Amino acid sequence: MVMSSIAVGVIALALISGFVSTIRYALYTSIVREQGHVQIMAKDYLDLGSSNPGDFYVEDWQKVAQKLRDDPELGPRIRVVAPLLQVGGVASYAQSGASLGFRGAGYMPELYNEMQQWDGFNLNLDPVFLTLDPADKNVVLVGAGLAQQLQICDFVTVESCQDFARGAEPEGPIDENIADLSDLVSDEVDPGAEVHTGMASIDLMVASADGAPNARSVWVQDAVTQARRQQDNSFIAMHLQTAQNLLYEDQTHVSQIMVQFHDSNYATAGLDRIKAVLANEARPMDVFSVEEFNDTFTRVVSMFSVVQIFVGLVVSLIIMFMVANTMAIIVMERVNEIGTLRALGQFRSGIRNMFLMEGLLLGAVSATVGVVTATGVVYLINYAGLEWTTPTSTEPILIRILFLETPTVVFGIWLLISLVATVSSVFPAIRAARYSITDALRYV
Amino acid sequence: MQQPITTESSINLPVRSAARLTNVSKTYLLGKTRINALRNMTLDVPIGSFGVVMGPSGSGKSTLLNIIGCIEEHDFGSVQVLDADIGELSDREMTRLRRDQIGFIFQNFSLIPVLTAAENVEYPLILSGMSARDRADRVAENLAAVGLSDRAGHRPGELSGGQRQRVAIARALVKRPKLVIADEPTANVDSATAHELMQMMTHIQQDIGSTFFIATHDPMVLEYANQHWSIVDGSITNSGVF
Repeated sequence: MVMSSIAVGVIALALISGFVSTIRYALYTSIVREQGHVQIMAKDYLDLGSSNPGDFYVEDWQKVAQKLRDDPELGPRIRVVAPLLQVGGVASYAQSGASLGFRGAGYMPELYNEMQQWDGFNLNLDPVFLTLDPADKNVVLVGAGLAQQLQICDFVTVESCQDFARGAEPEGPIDENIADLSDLVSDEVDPGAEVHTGMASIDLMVASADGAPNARSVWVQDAVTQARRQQDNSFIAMHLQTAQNLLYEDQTHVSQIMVQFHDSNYATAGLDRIKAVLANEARPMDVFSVEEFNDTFTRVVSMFSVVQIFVGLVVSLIIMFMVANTMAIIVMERVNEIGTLRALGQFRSGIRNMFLMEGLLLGAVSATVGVVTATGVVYLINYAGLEWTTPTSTEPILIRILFLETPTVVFGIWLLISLVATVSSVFPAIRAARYSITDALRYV
Repeated sequence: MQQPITTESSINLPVRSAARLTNVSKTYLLGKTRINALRNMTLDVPIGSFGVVMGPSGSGKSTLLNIIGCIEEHDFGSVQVLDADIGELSDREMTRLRRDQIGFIFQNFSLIPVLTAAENVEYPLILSGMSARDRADRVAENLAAVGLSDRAGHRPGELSGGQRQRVAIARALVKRPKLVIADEPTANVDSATAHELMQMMTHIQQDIGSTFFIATHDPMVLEYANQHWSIVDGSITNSGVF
């Protein structure tokens, strides 16, 4: 009975630990696919640069990327080096008269999509490709919420996007000194209406690097639903060149360089190596790990780790109580035997150690049974076809619990339960050793 | 004043008495009632003797055995067992004395139920650190001496009362102790078996030269003794040599 209870406790621990491991590895995979293992950015960009692209940028990102690839240690270990240029401003759609703020980024789709195929932990998660037309630098992808806000749902394929009838425009004083937004649109690029049939043309206005407003018309290739509503209402993905045209005159500036390695185990060493390689660059740069540039990862993992620890504590307490109770009963049932062994010449320490060993055996055997059973339970769950939608995804994914794939966790659970059972036996064992021989022999 | 001799030296030097009690008293507290189990008892158990102490229930026989067997401490007086002053020994030293020099035969056999007959007999040898091969030989020899070679693999639950007591005798004697303490060894067996057990013990005692000290209220046991004491209310009332 006690053994089966301990085994159930092990199964519970195995499931929660395996689920936390899955969360951790899936989230890590998602981040590494979207943002790389390491990010390189201008010094202090995270604190000061997002609203000041003019002063905080990485100059000539391709030169930096080549420098990393040429390094004999880094080169073979780097899988992808991709640029990212964060850009924010106001998006508007003239036909509906709607405008709202956007937070977007400029990508090189081919490199970004290459990053999306990383699967260092063999989780077989579906990649989320950026479907920007690589041949057309004038197209963008927008969040489904932003498409709805701009009322361009007729031009996108997201079913949840629905245009709504706007009320009458409120009357108010018009400042004739405010220029029409369309006056700011550059004439340098011909949006090409005949090429972009079926696409809505929206205007993007940003504060360029030199502080002056800059605007550009782009075509909305499609809308993509984002995981969080706030992001969905402001997201715009564009080609790197488009973002650079909005912010800079120089085409080589980016806000971040994302570095993805083949093997995550190299991430820490790789970060140090990158710092060393870029230590003497003219423009000082910061180099950050996943945990540093994405604090959501750290917080989510910490939260689930706390849950895991809490469950572990509860399970351990229950097991401790059960084993202590069982060992106390075992000692009571064997008082005569204790007296006999002591009379025959067994030391008190021998009696104590005998019951400690029995507690350890009880825990170790029960934990082993629990691990074996948990393996079967995990197998059943993983192949049951259950689904859930993670906080960072928009589509449900199959529930998968990592167990045997994380041998450290398996051994840790086994060791924890064995130790808990042993510790639980301490007091009963001490009590057994303290029995008076004559009282023990007389015990009925 | 005679200095107490340590257990280690006691093993190697010839002893004059197997046990010597001088003005020994022992008191129990049962609830609020004080029971004087032994009252100023003076007793000498000659080495190599087959001694029997008799008395009615509650006379102090078991207490006397427990004190001589070093499983209980006395309150007053002096107790020397195999020339070791028990009052000067620590718990570990007394345990070592029991392990190496004293064998016990209990009234209720006190065999370990999950061990076989052979394993029960072997247990004291494991405690003394004997090698596995030597243990196997000694166990086989002792089981043969008590006529239970064919029962070596049986657990106590599979043996009769007489067979269990024979296993207990084999266990008590397997380490060739200098002193054997037996508390009512014939109490839980029939009379025919009791005779068999007593004959067995006397034969073995003659073979290995141990001192036997037996507590009983069975007068049949006296037939096999060469030393006897009577105890009533914690005091020796009569003693003699046969």
